[in-house]
Amino acid sequence: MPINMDTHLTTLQADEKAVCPLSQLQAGEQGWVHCTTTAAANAPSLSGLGLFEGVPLTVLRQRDPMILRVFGTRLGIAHEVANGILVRKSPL
Amino acid sequence: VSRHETTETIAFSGVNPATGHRKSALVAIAGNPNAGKTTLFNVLTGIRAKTANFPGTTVEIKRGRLSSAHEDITLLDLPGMYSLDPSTPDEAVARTMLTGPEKPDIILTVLDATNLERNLLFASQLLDLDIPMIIAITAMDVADRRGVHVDIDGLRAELGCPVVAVSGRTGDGVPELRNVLLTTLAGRKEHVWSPCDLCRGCPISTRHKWSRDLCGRCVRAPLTPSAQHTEELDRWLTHPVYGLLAFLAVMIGIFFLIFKTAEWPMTWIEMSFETAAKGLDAVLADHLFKDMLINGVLAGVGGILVFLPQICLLFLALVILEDTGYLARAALVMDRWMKRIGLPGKAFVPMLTAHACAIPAIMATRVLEHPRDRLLTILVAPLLSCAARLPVYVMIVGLLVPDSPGKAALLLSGAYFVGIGAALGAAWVFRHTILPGKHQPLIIELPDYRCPSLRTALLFTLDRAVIFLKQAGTLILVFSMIMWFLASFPQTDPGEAVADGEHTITTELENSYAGRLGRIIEPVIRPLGFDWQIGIGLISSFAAREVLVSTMAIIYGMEGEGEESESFLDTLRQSRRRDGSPVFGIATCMSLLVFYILAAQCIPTQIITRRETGQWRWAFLQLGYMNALAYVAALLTYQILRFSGL
Repeated sequence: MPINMDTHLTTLQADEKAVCPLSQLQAGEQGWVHCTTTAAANAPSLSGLGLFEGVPLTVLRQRDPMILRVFGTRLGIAHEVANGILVRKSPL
Repeated sequence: VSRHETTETIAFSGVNPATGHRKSALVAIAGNPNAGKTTLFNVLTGIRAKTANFPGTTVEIKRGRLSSAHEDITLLDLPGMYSLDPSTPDEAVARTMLTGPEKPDIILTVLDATNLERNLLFASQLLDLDIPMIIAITAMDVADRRGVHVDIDGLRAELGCPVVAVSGRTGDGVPELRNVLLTTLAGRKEHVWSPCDLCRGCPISTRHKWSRDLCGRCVRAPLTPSAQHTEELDRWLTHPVYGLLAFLAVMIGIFFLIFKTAEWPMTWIEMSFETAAKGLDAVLADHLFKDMLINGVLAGVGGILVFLPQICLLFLALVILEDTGYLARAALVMDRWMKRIGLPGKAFVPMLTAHACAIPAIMATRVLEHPRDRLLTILVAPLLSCAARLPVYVMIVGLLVPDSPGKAALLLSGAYFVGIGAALGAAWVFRHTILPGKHQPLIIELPDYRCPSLRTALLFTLDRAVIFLKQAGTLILVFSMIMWFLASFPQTDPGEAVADGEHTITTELENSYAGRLGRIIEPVIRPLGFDWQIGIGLISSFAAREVLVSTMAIIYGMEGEGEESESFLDTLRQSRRRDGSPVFGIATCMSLLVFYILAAQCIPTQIITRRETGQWRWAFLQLGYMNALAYVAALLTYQILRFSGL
């Protein structure tokens, strides 16, 4: 069924629940990085690896450590880092 | 972000303005890990590269000369990095090299065609440095297969610097890259990148917009270009159960191959040292110098060089595994187990390696990014049972259970498990005492699976072999001489030995400093069930553990007969103390076994620890804690078994 993107974006902006820790995304789900919090700050090169605000990602595996598809590559990432990355879930 | 083009000649002329002399031009190769940087470096420099630690750190920088060039051009292979933020030692060193007084004349930035948008983020940081740049785009063939088309001319025009598509594996584009390097250095290139002021220190989102827009203009890609094979394979290789089984299978397979394949060259090395010893024996007159050459230099250095084939094969296997992309998956699979004791998943690689020899294991801790994780792994790695302990285990197990292969196998496996348990326990204790803090949580790139470059693997192995040989030729040689001195001096008057009616070599050893030390330490080792003869064995083991077996053979007058032979073990078994009790009773044997599992008796290991940590204190800590642990554990073993009437 086609999605009306305009309506959808308004709903997303209004709905703060759409933002959740990356670790809660299930396998196959997609989202955008909303922000990285201090919990993830001790992980080096997060932005260098491609995890920063506005970057789209797909979860390939949810189990700890989780696997993401970001840019043209995959990242293995422990839940304790993923907990500190807030993402905006994209509609399926 | 915008771009300015100038028609100025590049500032670099290769001439020192103060002296007017032409200096060596410096080209630094930088890029993300897995971008193909080292393969390209190897193709450009050949085997003439040298690896050295950056002063004051353990970060390695490879340095080589550009081959087939008339000009004096040095290439630096910087560590792979994701950003210039000095959050890791590698990145801090790379930043220092790029911005310090000896900054390079050109940065050769290596970008992966399959992941250009992210790779360009790092390139944008390099562009800020105001150093002329050449860009090499790798993995074009993989990009092609995924339907990704990179417009090289477009990128060249957009970036205003030379952009060349290359493949380090096939050599495609390498001659062109070499020409571009030479013309750029010669100052004939007219365009030069001059980064815009707005971009300096700009937030990552601005950099991303720039790289995304640039890719939008120069890269044509399907909507979701994915590495289907990689993701399919990962489903199995990163699975908690199948992934673990696959990892164990790979490691056991590699170890089996290494032990099997290394057998021949090890025999050749042993034989050539024996031949050399025989040759010297025949040629030289009986003199102290001859004894020193044969029993000091040849025996000591030969005893450690014999492990060179295992070390080379192990590094070859590890670097091939890393190059295929598998090692990142192994780290991912092992992470959930290793983090329980405070170590990252990657620490499993050196810990497995330690079962062959602690020296390559300590060298292999370079796979760990965090210095504290490295230090922790280095400290505990020698607790794992290395190949040199095996002859000792075999001797003791042979004494304990002579007629039961089943029990012997069980006891032997038990010895390995005690070592593993002790290493994991010690890691846990260190993590909660002197090396506190959480281990680095896992965040690792899982690169595409690919065919490894044999050339890169061989060059890396050669590099490790040279490091090992340098150690064997210097500090280990000196230590071998000290051990020979202790076992040979003061010399016994031959007449006295014959008058005693004892075996000459035995008497010599008894009277030597090592023998005297054996007697001196006897009160200390008596509670472990050891007498002064075993004491000599313990001291001589500091040259290398397996020496215990040959020392025991000398002390019990069995020199020349097969050390594993039944008569040797029978002689040991029948040895009696003055009170008639057997020297090698169950309690003593078990105590000796526990002692050899846990004790630090291999000085070359401490020498490598010093080299890799940069400080003697860690080597001394390793020596001290392991021997204290071994002493207490052997004491408890002996006393408990004695108390139980064994």
